Amino acid sequence: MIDELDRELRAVGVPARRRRRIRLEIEDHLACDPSADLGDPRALARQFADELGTLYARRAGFAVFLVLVPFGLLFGAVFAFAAVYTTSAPPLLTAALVGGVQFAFVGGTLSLLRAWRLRRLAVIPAVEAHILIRRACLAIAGAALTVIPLGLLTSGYYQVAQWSSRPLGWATVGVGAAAVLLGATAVVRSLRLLPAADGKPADLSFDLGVRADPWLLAVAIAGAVALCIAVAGGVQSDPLDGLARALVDGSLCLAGFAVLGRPLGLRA
Amino acid sequence: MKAEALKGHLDAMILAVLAGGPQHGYAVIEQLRQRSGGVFDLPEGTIYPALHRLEADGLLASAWETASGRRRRVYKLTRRGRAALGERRGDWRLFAQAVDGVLA
Repeated sequence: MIDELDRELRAVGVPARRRRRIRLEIEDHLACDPSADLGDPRALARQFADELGTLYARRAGFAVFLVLVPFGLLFGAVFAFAAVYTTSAPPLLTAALVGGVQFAFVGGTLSLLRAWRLRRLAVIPAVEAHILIRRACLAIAGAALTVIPLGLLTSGYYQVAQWSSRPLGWATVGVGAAAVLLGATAVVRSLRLLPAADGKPADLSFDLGVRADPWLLAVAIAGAVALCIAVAGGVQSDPLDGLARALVDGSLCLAGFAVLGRPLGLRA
Repeated sequence: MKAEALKGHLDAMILAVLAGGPQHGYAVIEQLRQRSGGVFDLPEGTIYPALHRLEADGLLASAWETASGRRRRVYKLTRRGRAALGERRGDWRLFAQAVDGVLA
């Protein structure tokens, strides 16, 4: 029984160290009661993978959000207090900075929401574990996409900004790089042991805890984002530019929902 | 009683058994069986994934001990585990009262 269980544990991806521990515990159990019914080795191995895989996937969702929070705050501080554009930045640099930070924010927030909603379950369906991992990967990719151009900007490779505190820029780059590394570690760990339980994926209404059609929620969120940008444009005394950016950002929100909605578990 | 019916309550029962003091896996199962008057007769292997998960979640801590020349993993409640047990006991009382109210 013990050798068979060991083979099954290996087959589902339980790491060697934990396998050794399980083996010793089962040996002790059988020594206490040689006629003990420990169940089917394959089912038992699957149960280990389901329960531990659930925990690791959920932990990756929480971890990615938590490591990105300090980076997000520092990133905001850099452009609020430390760096002012003196000339227009290259479009690619701006796109990477603005797009990257938005991907990181959206991916991190969605990871947190789904991990929180699933927090009480001992076993989540395999499809939910994959959704958590995809959301975490989006957040990490977004952060990585932000860190690189920010490093180039801070180093002076692109001389388009005047710095009042370059060390704040470097601190942000360092914290961002660490966040990418820590987040990726949590994701890799969860990928090594995934649950295999059946089940259907939830959608955006589950994340937000409201009963509504996911598309309707997406339109409402895109509208709110567009409104915020339009108002910000008005405050900066450039209402037309604000309106144009509001339309672009609102449309991008909806396009993102259409393209990434399924893989990220936002819509059925 | 079927293992399926116990699934949602197994964590709370493991925590409750370990609130009485550190135990190894076999002893936890024996305690469950004894304290339930033999009603909770689980397939014995099912306890180990739950113990590992509860430990990874920070509700239990464990360490190796030696007994009769064998290495034995002994589990105990952490402070978080004790708090979780209190919360789950409260949830269960509410649930049991509600079901009782309907069935009585």
